[in-house]
Amino acid sequence: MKYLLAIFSIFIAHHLSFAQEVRIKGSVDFTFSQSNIKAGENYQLETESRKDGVIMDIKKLDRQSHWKITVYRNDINWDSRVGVYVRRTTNGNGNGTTWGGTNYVEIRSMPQTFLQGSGSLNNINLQYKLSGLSIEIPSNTYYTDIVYTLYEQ
Amino acid sequence: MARFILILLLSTTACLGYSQNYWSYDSHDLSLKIPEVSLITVMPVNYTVNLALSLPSKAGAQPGESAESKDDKTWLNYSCSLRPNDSYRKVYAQITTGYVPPGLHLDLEVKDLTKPGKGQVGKRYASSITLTNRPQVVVNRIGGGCTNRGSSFGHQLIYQLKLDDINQLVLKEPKTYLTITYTISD
Repeated sequence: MKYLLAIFSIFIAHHLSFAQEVRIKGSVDFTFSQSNIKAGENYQLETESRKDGVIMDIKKLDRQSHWKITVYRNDINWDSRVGVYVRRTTNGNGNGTTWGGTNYVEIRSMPQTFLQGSGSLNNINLQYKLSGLSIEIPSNTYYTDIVYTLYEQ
Repeated sequence: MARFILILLLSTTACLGYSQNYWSYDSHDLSLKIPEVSLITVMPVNYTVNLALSLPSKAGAQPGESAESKDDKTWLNYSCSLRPNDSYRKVYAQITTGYVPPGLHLDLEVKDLTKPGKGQVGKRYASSITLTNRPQVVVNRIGGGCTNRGSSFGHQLIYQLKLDDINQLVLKEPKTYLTITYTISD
């Protein structure tokens, strides 16, 4: 019985140590100031972040492992008039490949597929866009949490 | 008991080994900072309003109001973004340099918007005021909004020079220069 428990523990440890994972580095801060507009003007309706402000890594997957990434947002304090979009601007590097996600996808409160691929990839750069910006939105600092989930298929 | 544990271990191992939907997640913050904004201007930029009383058409008549004593070519534009639960903003007008010669007064009429703005733009406060060196409200109830920018957008401003009493009218200089200042505030 002791041997059986030991074998089981090794199996679990091995399984967990090689479990695939998605890692996100960076965050995005959109900041406006009075200098962005002149008297009488409204804000531009859309604005984009840097192309490499957030980096996604997909780790611990062998070349044949297929996966998908879903994305949703968890609003902490967000104005519903402002839409949030994401796209990838690089393919990443590693033993894998990815497809999809090069056009902006709106991030909603419900998860939806953003990327698919196979194998491990590092340095997939993500760019964000906000829409619906307006001078009507009360002055404040708004926050939302962008959640990516990796599924091995 | 040993048999039960054995079955449990084998079942768990089988489940982990053949599961098809392993998952992992990570997240990051996204923030949007919108500042408090109060911007105001008069369009067209650098336009100077020139007003004059017309000369009497015959001896004994008083200088009268004419096209030269009125100007309607300037427009008040503003953008305003308020904090939640902030009170509305107002626009004040006043003469900040110079003075209107004795015997005359300068009236200001502020029109409501004729072309739509965005959000909650203000309403004119009075049909007409006489400008002085004391700030007077000319537009109120400005919320988060903007008038759009340019001549013909926002509130049209109509200045009119009027004669009070010709007996007080003593012109020391051929021209008098005034600065009219508009301020957007609580």
